[in-house]
Amino acid sequence: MNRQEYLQRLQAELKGFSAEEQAELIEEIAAHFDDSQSDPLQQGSEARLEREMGRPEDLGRGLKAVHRPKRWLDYALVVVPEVIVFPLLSLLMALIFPFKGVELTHGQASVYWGIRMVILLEAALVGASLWLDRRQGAKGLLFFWVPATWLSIFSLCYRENRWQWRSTPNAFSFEALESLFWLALLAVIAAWLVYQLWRTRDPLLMTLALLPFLSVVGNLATNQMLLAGGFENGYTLPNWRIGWYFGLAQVVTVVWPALFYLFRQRPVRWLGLFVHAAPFALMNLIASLRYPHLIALWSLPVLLVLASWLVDGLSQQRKPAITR
Amino acid sequence: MTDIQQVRKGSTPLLILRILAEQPLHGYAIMRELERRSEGYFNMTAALLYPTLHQMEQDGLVEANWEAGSGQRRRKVYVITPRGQEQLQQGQKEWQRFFEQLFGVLNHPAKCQRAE
Repeated sequence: MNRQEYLQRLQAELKGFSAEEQAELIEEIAAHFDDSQSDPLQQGSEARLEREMGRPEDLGRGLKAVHRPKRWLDYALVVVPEVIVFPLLSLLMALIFPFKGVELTHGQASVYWGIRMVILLEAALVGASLWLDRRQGAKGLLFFWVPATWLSIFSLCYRENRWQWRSTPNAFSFEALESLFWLALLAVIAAWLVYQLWRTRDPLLMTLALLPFLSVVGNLATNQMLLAGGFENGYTLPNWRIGWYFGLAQVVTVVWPALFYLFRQRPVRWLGLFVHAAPFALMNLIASLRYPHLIALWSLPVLLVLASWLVDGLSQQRKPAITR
Repeated sequence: MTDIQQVRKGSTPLLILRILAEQPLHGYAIMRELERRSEGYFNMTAALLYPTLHQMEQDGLVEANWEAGSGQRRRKVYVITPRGQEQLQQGQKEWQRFFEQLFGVLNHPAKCQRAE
């Protein structure tokens, strides 16, 4: 591969950078080529130069991993589905399968198809995240959509009460084979996620991945309490809270990914996770004054962020400076 | 990647800082100098060198300036920053301690204690 071919392949790999950035990067590498070719001590074959340069694709990927020219893409891939695609999907499902007012969660067609469509879309987003991660490193995106997909599948099995092995099977229970399939899928995704988190060992990314699981704990516990008759008058939300919830949800969904994905500085990214976890936990805590036994559960996400942030601060200090 | 390759990769920024502590250099010269001082042991590729240099620039360890080179070509020259100097001193101490302890353990005379 000669100089021209190398630079062309490198330029092809640098898509996503602005034209000026590309020109600057190419100029630096071209200068390296020229120096190498004019160095009297290093005269030799094209093969030697090729070995010394490494593959242009590896160089391009390395530069992308450092500069992350498409951070906005990570942001868009989190926000657009959450703010536009999933709400539109719910609307579409409600239009296709209008609610007849009998069963809200058990077997209603819009819920039945809606959650499957969500899983399908999330699987596509996991695929896009994997692709982007291989191209330029997008672990933050991956650790957002993989837990989300796991929880959607869990919701399909749990919320709709479809496990074959539930105590009182109903008309909507899965067949044994389907139950096994979903169970195996949940196990594989969980194992893969744990392995990836162990490999990364980054408190920031680990917190991002664990946060939705802890948020769900509060919801599940509340549902179980309701089913068990744990609340004398039901678990009612005050009207002001429902309004706040809706407005806050929209703001939070747009703000936390901006802080987490668009910025490089760790304190700002931690702030993003705190915005992700805190508002709902705080509002639930206010409501939990009536149900004190739930306070611990609602505070879990916030506690996780604070504890991980402290651990991260300490580990950053302990790390050898050169590897920080 | 083997353990020794990981150690080599982990030590790359420190080696670059050490070379830049003496004089500002461009990428090609850094590569050659590193190779010369290590008698060819640290012969990294451009695919590893430039992302490392750019990461170090982002971390504030080095600064880069474009300077006129021979002919029409400009060169990006890297200069160590005060923060880079600090990291170099700290890193040297840490690596020194690491290797002292490593070889302290490896060269420790083996004492076979036989169970009575």
